[in-house]
Amino acid sequence: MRTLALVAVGELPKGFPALLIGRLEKETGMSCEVLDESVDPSAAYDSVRAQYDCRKILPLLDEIALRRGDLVLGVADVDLFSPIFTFVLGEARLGGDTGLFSLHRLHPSFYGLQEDQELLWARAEREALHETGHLLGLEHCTNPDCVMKFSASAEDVDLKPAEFCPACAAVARGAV
Amino acid sequence: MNPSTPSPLRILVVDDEAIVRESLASWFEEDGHQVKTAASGQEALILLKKEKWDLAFVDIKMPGMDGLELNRRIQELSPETTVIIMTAFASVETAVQALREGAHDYITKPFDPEHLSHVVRNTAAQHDLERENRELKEKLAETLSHPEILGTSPGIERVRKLIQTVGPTDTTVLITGESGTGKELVARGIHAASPRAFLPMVTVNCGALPEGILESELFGHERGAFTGAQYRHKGKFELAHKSTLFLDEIAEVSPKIQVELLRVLEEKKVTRLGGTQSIEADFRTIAATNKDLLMEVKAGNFREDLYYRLNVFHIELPPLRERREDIPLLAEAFAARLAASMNKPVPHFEPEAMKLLMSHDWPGNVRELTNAIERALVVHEGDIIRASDFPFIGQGNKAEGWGARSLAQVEKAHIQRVLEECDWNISQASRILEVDRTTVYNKMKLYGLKRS
Repeated sequence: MRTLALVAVGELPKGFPALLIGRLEKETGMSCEVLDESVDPSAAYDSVRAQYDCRKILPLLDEIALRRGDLVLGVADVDLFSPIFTFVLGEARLGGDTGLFSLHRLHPSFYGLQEDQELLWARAEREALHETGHLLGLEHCTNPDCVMKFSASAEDVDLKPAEFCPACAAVARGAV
Repeated sequence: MNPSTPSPLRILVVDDEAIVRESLASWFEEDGHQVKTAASGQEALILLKKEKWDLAFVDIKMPGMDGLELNRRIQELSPETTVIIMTAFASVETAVQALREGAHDYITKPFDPEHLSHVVRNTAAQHDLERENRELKEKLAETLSHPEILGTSPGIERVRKLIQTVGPTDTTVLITGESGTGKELVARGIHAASPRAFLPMVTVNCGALPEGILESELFGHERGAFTGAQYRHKGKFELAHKSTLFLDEIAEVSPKIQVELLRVLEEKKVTRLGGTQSIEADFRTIAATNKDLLMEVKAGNFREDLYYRLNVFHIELPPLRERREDIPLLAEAFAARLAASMNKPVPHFEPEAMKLLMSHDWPGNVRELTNAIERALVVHEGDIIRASDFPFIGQGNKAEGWGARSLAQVEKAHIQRVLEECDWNISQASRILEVDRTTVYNKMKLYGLKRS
């Protein structure tokens, strides 16, 4: 069985990405580990947009996946964008080996609110599981009670549970 | 797919930049939409001619045919496709021009995922509503276009043809025919065949209401117009605005209301009782009566000018006895419909039963036939309707012997039948008829009834 490797992309708040392992293992049935190595996102920085191009970070994660033969999920705390979008919460290669998400827009402080570690953790679990779902071949789901529901904002993330709906769970288990 | 997105869309992405095409396509595909891309306006037009698209994302700046021109072409070629213009901040003014030329919305690059998601969701919801609306209209039209005018006899075929001829026009129609021949059904058929079909037909039974109430029903009244008029009340003419007004039993209208009717029919303007303002109403009129309206005119009971105003197009409904060949079809159709409403299996008619139904004269026409079938459905046993399930269609009611119309004629026939049953025993007959013997004698004398 393949392992899901969690890789820090740049500096992360204390406890990340290890905090995500429990949820990911429970929901996907895969074994997860945090890699000692980390990825430096500075080459993906776009000074005009003051954001990081996630499409330039994914190839760095591809190298690790190729080397290890594992699925690799990068966890960042910088503001990510893809060329056509103002921002992205995360990006993954559908049915591929690598994905990435950022805590940046999941912090309540990003919206001018009091920082809340519990809330950040809850949101991060959902986003990590969502991007991992894409690696397992899952597309967005119409079921509002599924983590694969599309989220365009942190508020959307809060509305969905940190688990797959039965239909997506079946596909995910099959892929694992 | 986004949970609020009602259903998947067919999306066309048109942009000369590969990154935009690919990113948007994969983003939409992840949401479950069907996506194709085109690198130019020309390429997009080929796809637009070949397939139907719900949504087209069109870049405003493209070499060759630009987004503005492509938008115009899409509006001509495929007006049902919702066009969203993609633009850079610098070209917002051009995007606004595209909006004036029929584009639905514009989004600026780079796209805000939340905004883009809203645009797609709204378009999907709009398309769902439009589709639902279209389907409902089709269903409604289907329902309305088949009012149950059943029968294949030449008489009924003619009526059906007349309905189709006059239906789509705004012509005033007068429907005449005996009671129970289906005048209201024909009126509904005309309304259904008209462009007014999407609003309900407004019906007034002129014979059922006293003059004062009918007046208020037809023309409406203002608050305080008369004692008890506590609220303003819209009349049927107003309610029939953009629809059809069906005036049933028109011969029963009083001379006073006839004058008012004539005025409203001619001017297409109504003044509510107690009101001063005249209100314009765009209605189509259908009137019906079981009386010979021309005879009523000659007898001085009906205004001649109103008669001609109503009798622009005349449909005369044949009585059921003049289209006996339709009886089996009608009987079976009513039996099937009534059985369904009673939750019973659809019964068959034994040949004798059908023969009996066809031999009867049906003075109450289709209405009487329906009632007879309903009664038979209640009393019949098994899945066969027998002649014995129509006990009231007796010898005396047979077509050959049926001529009685007036109460006196019916009374005479009935007394004679009872007397014959009792072998002309007056005491026995008086018990059955529940009258005293003297009355039986008097009636026999009155009607000249004698044992032959």
